Amino acid sequence: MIECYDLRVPSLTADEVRHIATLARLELNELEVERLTIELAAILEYAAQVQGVDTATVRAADAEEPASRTAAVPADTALRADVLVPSLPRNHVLDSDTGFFTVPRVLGG
Amino acid sequence: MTSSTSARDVPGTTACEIRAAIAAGRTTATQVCRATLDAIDRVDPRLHAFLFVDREGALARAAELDRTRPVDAPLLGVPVAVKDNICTLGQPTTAASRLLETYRPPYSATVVSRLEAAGAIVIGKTNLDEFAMGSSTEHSAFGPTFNPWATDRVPGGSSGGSAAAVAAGLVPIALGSDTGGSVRQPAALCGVLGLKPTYGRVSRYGLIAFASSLDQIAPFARTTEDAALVLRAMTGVDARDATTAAEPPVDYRAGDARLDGVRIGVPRHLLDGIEPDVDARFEAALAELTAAGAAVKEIELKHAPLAVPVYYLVGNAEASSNLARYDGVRYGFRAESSTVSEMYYKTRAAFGAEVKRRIMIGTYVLSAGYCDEFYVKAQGVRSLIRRDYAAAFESVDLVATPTSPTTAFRLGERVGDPLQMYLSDIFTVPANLAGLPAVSVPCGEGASHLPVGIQFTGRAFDEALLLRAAHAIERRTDWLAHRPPVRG
Repeated sequence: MIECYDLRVPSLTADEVRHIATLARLELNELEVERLTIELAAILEYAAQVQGVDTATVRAADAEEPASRTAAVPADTALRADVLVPSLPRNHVLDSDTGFFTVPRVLGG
Repeated sequence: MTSSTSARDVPGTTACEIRAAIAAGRTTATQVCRATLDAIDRVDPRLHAFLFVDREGALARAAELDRTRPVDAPLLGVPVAVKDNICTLGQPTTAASRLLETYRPPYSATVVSRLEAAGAIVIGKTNLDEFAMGSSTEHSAFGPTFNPWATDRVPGGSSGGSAAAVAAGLVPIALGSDTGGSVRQPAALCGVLGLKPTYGRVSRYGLIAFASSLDQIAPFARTTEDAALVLRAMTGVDARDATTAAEPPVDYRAGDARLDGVRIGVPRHLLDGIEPDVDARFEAALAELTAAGAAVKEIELKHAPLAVPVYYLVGNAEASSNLARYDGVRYGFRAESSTVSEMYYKTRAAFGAEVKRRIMIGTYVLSAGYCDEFYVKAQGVRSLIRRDYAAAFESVDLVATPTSPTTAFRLGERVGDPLQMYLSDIFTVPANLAGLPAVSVPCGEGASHLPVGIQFTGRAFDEALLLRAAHAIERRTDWLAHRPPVRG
């Protein structure tokens, strides 16, 4: 079995939920804030199990191979040959009538 | 299909049969395409598997194939359905989100181009949980998909539309994406085969990113032979996805269904709490594997019980980053507003509740003060999970578990309890965290005649052995004779 110890389970406040929402550029109404405060606390409490696991051996390995920390399969960065190849056709990318990117008017609107 | 093939006979046939019938001149791509479109018209109102059907485009492509007759094309005239988070040039690609409702990608995903080059016809786009976030397809902004075995049940998710379309026999092959089980779990709940390839086996170019270190595009099929066929057509190095691996292609030929010398490990410590019916079917499948010559033994995957919390930390961290791009500037929907900042907020208000929940979790675990305790820690445990598999594969060749702890649950049953919904991923998320290939194959019926799936996880790039094991199960059960009540 995995030994769990000293879990730092966060207690989440509505103000913290509003702060995270601001970081994520999400506009929440009061009902959403209330609901997410409860749901996030439950999910994070469940997820906090990972804090009890001894990962010292992994940290040592990571120091030698940093990519292994975030990659599914540790691998060298693949680079393709630096040669010119066709890009997307213009008629797939640009507005078919004007031949330009079409964006909302920002001046003189 | 026989020489007397009529349009009504097409639904339910396999890709191999369709290709052979067209190549031999017993039918045409156009006839197959029309029959498929008719079946979708008849049946899909009861399933809602499709978000878009490309009637004109598919018929035009079929006519072109009938004109050019590339008889060696491995998927000649085979209709395929594509999950709506995989880009198709000029066709809607919504990810089942209001934010991308009007989006038309200027390119096709590499997998779509490869299947088309192999002769396949993309017939339409299938329903999913918004941005592939969910296990039931109930989180689609355009309404849920229903399970063809019982329409009061979910098809699983997030690739529920693709799974339901194949299960109902509307198409022989469909593509999904599997980030934490989003192909294997709906395959199990709908009674079809779903194979998540090794991370790096299939290009992710053109897949709308959810969690980039976990995502893989993956096929659904009814038979092992069809799964092998489509897998061969879609794999390989792609200069547009730097994580694709230069590995030899999957080398699988259907054999005699024997598994002599194959060692299969069962982590019994993970099996607590599964439905008795699922347990019974799983044990029966293990007995069949033994009868086929495999040696079944117990193994331990010490850190696998932590896979779900690790997955929801790592996956949501990556999701919160990937979904930052939906700001009203670059893609799809843009809310009108007087300032840029307000536009971001108003645009992103179009995300559904589950997507917002996951962005919030991801933002929290990456935020200053919590990153080390949650995200970095979870990455460490992820490495331990990967090591557990590496150790297990020193003494076994495959790991077997049920695919899902339960059969298909009722619509609405779990949607109000996100944590309970997440726990249904317990057997599928470890393969994504470790980057390993895994297949779900039907192994019988559980409660209420609902399908049960057995999952095999293998060594990296050993999809051929997964297919051999799947073939053994397929041959030793009469599963292929079972058809759902709602079908084409």
